[in-house]
Amino acid sequence: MIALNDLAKKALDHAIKLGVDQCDVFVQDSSTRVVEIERSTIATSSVIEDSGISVRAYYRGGLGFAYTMRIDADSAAEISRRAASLSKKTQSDPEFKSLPEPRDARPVEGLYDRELAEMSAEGVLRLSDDLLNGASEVGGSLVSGMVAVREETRCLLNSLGVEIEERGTWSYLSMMSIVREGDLVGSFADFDGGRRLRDLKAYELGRKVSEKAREYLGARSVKTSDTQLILGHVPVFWTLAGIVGSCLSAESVQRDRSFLAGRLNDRIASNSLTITDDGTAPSGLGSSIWDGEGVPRKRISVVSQGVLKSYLYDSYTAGKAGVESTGHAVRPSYKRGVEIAPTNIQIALGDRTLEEIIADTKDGVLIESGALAPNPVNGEISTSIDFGFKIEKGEISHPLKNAMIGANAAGLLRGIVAVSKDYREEPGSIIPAILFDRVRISGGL
Amino acid sequence: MDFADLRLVHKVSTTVSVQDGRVEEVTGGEDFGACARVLLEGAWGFSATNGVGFEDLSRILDNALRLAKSSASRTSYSGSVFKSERRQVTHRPRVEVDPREIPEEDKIDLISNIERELRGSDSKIVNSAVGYRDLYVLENIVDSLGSCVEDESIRTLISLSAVAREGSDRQSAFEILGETAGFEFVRKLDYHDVAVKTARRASSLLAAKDPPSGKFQVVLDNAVVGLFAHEAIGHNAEADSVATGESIFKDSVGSYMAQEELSIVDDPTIPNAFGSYAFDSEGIKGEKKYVIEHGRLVGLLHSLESSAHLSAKPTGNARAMDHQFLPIVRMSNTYVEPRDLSFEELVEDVDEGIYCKGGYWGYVYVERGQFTCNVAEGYMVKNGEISDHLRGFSIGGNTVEVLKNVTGIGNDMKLKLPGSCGKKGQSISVDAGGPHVRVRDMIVGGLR
Repeated sequence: MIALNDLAKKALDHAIKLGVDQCDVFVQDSSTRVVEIERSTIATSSVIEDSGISVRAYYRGGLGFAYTMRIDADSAAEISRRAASLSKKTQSDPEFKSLPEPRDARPVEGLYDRELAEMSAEGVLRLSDDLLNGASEVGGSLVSGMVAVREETRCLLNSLGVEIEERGTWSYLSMMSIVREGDLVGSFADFDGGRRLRDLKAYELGRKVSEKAREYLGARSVKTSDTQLILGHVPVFWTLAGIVGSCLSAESVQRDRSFLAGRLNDRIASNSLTITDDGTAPSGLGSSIWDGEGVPRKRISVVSQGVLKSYLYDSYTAGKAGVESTGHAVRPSYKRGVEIAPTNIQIALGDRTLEEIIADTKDGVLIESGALAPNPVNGEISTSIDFGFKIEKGEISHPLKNAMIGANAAGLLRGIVAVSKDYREEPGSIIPAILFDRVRISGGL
Repeated sequence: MDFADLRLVHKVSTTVSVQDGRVEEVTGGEDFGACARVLLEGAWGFSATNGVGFEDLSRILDNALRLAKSSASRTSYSGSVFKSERRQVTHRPRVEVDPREIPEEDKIDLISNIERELRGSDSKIVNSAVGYRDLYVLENIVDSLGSCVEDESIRTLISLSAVAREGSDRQSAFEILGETAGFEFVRKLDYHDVAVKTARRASSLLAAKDPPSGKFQVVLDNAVVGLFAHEAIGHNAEADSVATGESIFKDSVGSYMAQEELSIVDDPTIPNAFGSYAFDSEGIKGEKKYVIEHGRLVGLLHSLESSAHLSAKPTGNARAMDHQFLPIVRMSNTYVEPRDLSFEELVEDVDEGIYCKGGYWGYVYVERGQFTCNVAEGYMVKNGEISDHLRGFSIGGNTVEVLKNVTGIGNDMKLKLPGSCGKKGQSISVDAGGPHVRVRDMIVGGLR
């Protein structure tokens, strides 16, 4: 195959010759090995090779974008021509300032692991065996899930001289366990991720998920009431990462479609909440040296003791706001342009353990999986409690069935009572549990 | 080797994005690749690459065989496929205007007009966005049973999004319209009406009340009943999760689960519907089938593998997002069949309840039948009369319990949910709908 960097250079030169103002070229080459687990055994083993090239061309600020999966010089030239042509059909945008200039960045440790990169299909099967062995130690459950190992090289060049190449490895394990006893059903799902083989704990995941599934047998309905809410580690991760990603993205804010628009330096949460986003965390799942536009990743304070300190910017929204990009442009795939997303969320810890918080809760609900995803426009939250327990007099009473939660994210953030001192660490992220003031729980009784 | 197939996929798409009065982005993309799937001694191997040359195909077949072999030695999985008859078919879509032949300028003009209508329809709109996408897909499937199927499809879709603001209070509205059709679909659209309704919905929600919480008698509109049919019933009827023993329907085929009037259908043959297709990604012809017929669970949605496992006929429901994914059991257009009650008749028997209108998303845990459906807006119903306007919320419940609680089925059938359904990382075009349906004891996740 033609060297990715050479191909990107050819596409870039071609686009510049076509008279666009600025452009960048992104090439991605990946190999993903996946084992799928069904009926508590290995069902499918896969290898997916994927490579593609995309061009973003700007003409008077308007954006033309084209991609192809054909990795050859003619196709690269063709998408350059297409992107340039499409950019001239958009309307001028005076808010577009510039793509990033080249900047040096410090290396980030632990983003590429030779053991993962060179892992054979047999190796991925062994990881799957570990997951299944963990589950079978508990026994009596029906297990499904997957193990994925990915190696990727990405090149980014732009017309201002950015020229970068990064390699990375990732692995992602997910598992669901179902336990049936008569008419009772208990289930649980969880995941593990890492950039290095040594970060993965497949056996422990298999065992933990199957143990948890058993705890969810015998779910019962509750009455509709206001009660305290404890979000466990995983729901805190998905909920806060979701709020940071969808409501603090400068794109949402500048478009006036976030309930947190216009709130910079305002108090948006209780004193207990401090959130940092660190795109340079060693071996972090969301870490990289540069973001998707070639801006060095950095560590930023998002919320400090309840005060909103920063939105997340890419180069376009930073130019529009007259600030520096925070390095939050991501490119999930060459098939799409740039989006704004958090990298690794780190939440400052409190001084009580989750166990102590539960013991201090007279009447509450604990949610252990899922997210409270708000409508980013108004912060409204309304969803089911899929994996939750009723807490009565400081003790976990029973799993919940037919229970829903209604809240507003603004009120929820202001109503944070405590953050736990114990936490879950997914590579790069630090995620405690959080106790919230009273929320509305709809029940089936 | 027990079975093998090769699938070649070519996709061409154009998108246009117009936001806040400006054509922001126009994109063009091409997907191009192949995948091979091999079943050996009960285990599957799968390999995909972005190339369709002879060497590419040989390599991925070898890879898939090797992967199946290495899995077979360490699994108790007993995969098998239904030995379908040999198929030699070519299907071309009948569209009036192939969007690939329309200049981008025409698409931009039309979408700009829609966005202008959306933005100008209400003074409280602070953000308006209209997106357009057309997608051509060519799928070639050959398998070791001797089949050779070539299927082309074209879909066209537009989305409208509006945000209204008053002080610091913001509300949003969203609308998607799509068909398995060419550019004629957007040309024929009464977009003025759609744009005005979307903008006014966002604006009117500013004055709406917070939704209540608890158990209510509800009347579901065409969209929410589509979400219910798709999430609560359809996903549980996907035979892959029945074959694995996960779905709540695993021992229920043949059982009566609802009142006699309730029938739920999955039908990929509805002309122009967004979830329609001629052949699935295993080259099996799509067909209309009842999941629930007069209250009885009569059928499941099948792939070649699930039909072999459960000794049933394939139904043409194995679909793959592209060549990088395995075909898995998916829905097409899923709906509740209409009966004879008018909307007024459904509402007049409600003493205190909620009319649930429009919905954007939902999900289900099939092992418990625990489903959640989003509702875009609602109205309180008091003594048979529509009253207070309510902001968005979600409804939820247990499939088996809620099926028994259906108390009335309307006569105004509509498919109202063109869009995407996600499963195992794959996003697939589907639609859903039905008539208005009344259900008692639905749980409403409100704020008060």
